[in-house]
Amino acid sequence: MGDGENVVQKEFRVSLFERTKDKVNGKLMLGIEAFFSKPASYLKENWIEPMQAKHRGNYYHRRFRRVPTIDECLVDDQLCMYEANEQMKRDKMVDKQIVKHLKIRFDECRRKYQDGAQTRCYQTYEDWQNTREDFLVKWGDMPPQHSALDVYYKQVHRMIHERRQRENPENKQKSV
Amino acid sequence: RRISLSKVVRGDYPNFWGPGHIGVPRFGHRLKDYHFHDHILQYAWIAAVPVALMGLYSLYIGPAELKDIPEGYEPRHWEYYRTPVQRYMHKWLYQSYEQAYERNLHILDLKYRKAESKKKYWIVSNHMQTNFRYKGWYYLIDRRIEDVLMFDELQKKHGMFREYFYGRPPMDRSNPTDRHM
Repeated sequence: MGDGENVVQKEFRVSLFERTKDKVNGKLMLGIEAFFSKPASYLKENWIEPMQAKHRGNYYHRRFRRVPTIDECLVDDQLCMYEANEQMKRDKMVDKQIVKHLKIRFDECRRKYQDGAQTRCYQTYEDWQNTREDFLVKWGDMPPQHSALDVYYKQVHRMIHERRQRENPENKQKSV
Repeated sequence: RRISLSKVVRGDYPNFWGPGHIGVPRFGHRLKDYHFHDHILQYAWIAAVPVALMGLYSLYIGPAELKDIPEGYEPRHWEYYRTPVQRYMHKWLYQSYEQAYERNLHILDLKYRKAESKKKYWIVSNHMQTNFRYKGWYYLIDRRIEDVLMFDELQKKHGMFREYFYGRPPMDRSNPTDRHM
């Protein structure tokens, strides 16, 4: 009392009616959920898990070796081109999942900080958008049935374009 | 027992094939409904049996746990899947990813080698057609080279020349200019 630093400053006060409503609703909803989940949890933990522990197996994730890319292949070497194509598809899938998980992080952040998302979630948003842009720069604007050669030549054309812009700064284009 | 009253109350007009007029009360056909219901159930049972069996099998065995691949161990191709039904299918019914990959590589290899031979054949025959007027323009394949190489290989491998028709003396290769007749 009289101590300005340790006094709890309440910005708002919840009424008794609102508090009872929160408790009842919380308990009601939790009770309904427990009515369905408690028997299932009991059965799973006490009967099914021990039964499965005897026969269950292990599973692993595939590991792929790095093979030569399309720029290291000889012309008309079908085997090398096939392997490079498969590697390209795998790398594309990996990059797709990366972009997807960054969006999931952003959505989780928004769910956590409901009204404060504008300030507290901007980093996640930036990460997602930048990765998305890089993904489109690397893998976008391809024909539907594209191969490793198409991706490689896109990179080649892009590097040539950048070099020309650097060499001739008078004709420097503004970034779109 | 339910009676569909809609056709009584609303005076639904009768079927073309039925007798009567608007206003005649029409009751639902219970036997027809039961007959249809039986057909539906029979159709559903056809799929329900394998689904239930697969479900019980999965429940008994349980899903697999994700682990790191231990050193010096190459997992079988069905050990890359989680559910027991998937593992069963990939173990007994389906072919592995590596198998399909190698098969595709083999097919491409055959096509590549055939195409390379065809290219060379086309070049040589084109050359022969353009230079038909010159003496000595023809190029015949010397098939004795393959025999010599095979002979050397077998000598190294077995120490003797294994022939199907053994007991015959080997060829006389002292005079290379004589042609086979």
